[in-house]
Amino acid sequence: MAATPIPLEAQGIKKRFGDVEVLKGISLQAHKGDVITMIGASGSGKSTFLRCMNLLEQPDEGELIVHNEKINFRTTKKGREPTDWKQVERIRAKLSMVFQNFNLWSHMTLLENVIEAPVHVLGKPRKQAIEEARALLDRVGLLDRADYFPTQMSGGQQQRGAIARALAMDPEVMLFDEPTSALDPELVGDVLKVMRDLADEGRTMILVTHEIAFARDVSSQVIYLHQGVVEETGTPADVLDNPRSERLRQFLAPKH
Amino acid sequence: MIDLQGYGPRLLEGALVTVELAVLSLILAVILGLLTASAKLSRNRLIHALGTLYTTLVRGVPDLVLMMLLFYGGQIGINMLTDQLYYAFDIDIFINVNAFVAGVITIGLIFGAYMGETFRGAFQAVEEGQMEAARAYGMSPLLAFRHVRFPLMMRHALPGIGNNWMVLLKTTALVSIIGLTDMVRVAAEATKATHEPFMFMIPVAMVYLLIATLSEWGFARLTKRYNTGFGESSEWNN
Repeated sequence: MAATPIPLEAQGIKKRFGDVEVLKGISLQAHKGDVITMIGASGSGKSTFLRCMNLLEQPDEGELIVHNEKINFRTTKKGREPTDWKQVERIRAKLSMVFQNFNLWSHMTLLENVIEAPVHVLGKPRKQAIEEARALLDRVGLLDRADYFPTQMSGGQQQRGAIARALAMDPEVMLFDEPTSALDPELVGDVLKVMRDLADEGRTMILVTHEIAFARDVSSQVIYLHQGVVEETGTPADVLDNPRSERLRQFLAPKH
Repeated sequence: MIDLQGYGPRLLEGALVTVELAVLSLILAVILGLLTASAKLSRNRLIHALGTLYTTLVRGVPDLVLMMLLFYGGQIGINMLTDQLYYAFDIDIFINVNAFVAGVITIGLIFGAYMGETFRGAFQAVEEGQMEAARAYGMSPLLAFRHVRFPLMMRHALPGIGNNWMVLLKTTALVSIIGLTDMVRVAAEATKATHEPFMFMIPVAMVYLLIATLSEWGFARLTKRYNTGFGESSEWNN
């Protein structure tokens, strides 16, 4: 019996910046429909780990397997790098990322942002891409903003637009890098609502966030990182409601 | 129109030479400028050093000296090379350095260095997150450059390019020294023969002004185009 391919698997990821070892061997398995949330103090390495998933950072050690395809690395004088950048591009197209600062392309309208990669990276016919993009924009409540430029939209609108851009790739896994951290508090709710819908429809998601309540609601697995090590992991009930370590208890304690 | 004592058609031909020279030099300068900016931003030390050597050398030597060096020195260099070919392989060729080509290469080389600085600043002005998003969505380096870095960079580069273009346009007048018949040379000859400097130099000045004015208009349109998505946010935002 052929096993269903695991959308994303990371094994023993290590990463150092200069003398600092930011990730000390982190593994993760995202099965279809999993919502994996990574929490931890700033500097714990959670964003770096997420950025290693789509090779915006090159892991110094460890393996990445996306939908049964293992990424090949070679070691050069300058360090470890992917052997085949075409493979990296192909794999990145399957792992859509949503950034903390949205990073919508500012010279393109929202609609152009959403169809850009489907048309030019995936080679989708433009007409079809536009139709799909409009449906996605409708879904995130931004159809009336299709022809607006990012600077003409609020942060919350930009982030929902960025989620539509990510969905347009029909990704294996969606990577969210602190998607609400740059938003005004009153705009966070709309973005979280869109993300909750995605979790409910069974999207595979890996999420770095400070929104503990949200993590409790949607996650299938929570990972608590501390100084580049997985300190605790399990279901939200295990990790968030019954933290074992004093450090995690302190991290979760309400701030005054 | 006035026939300018019979010099009219030649002046017109000269004006055409000026325009051709300026446009071809600009194209070469932009290509060299993009390469230079990439070189100076490269992490490879050798490539970086080459870029720096080029801009330092070119920007530190007068245009006229460079032009003479390239035109006369280039001819001597090519002659030496063809001589070697003759002695070594019995191949007998003679290559004449064409004044027009020498002019384009010299002016292109000079302004490539200035464009390099313009583009370098513009490259750096592009927010890193924009390129990161391009990479994250699987764009190849070439696609990311064409669709993201270049259009975003142009907004910052256009004022500098426009400035360089105006100076470049006027620098073309130097080619009359190496024997190229641009409109300045025709006008100078005509003035010598007729002792009527105003009759020839004023039309020449007018042609430069006309080209400059048209360029201003063109650059204004380009600026508008590459500014789409920036500014005027307030009237839309709500």
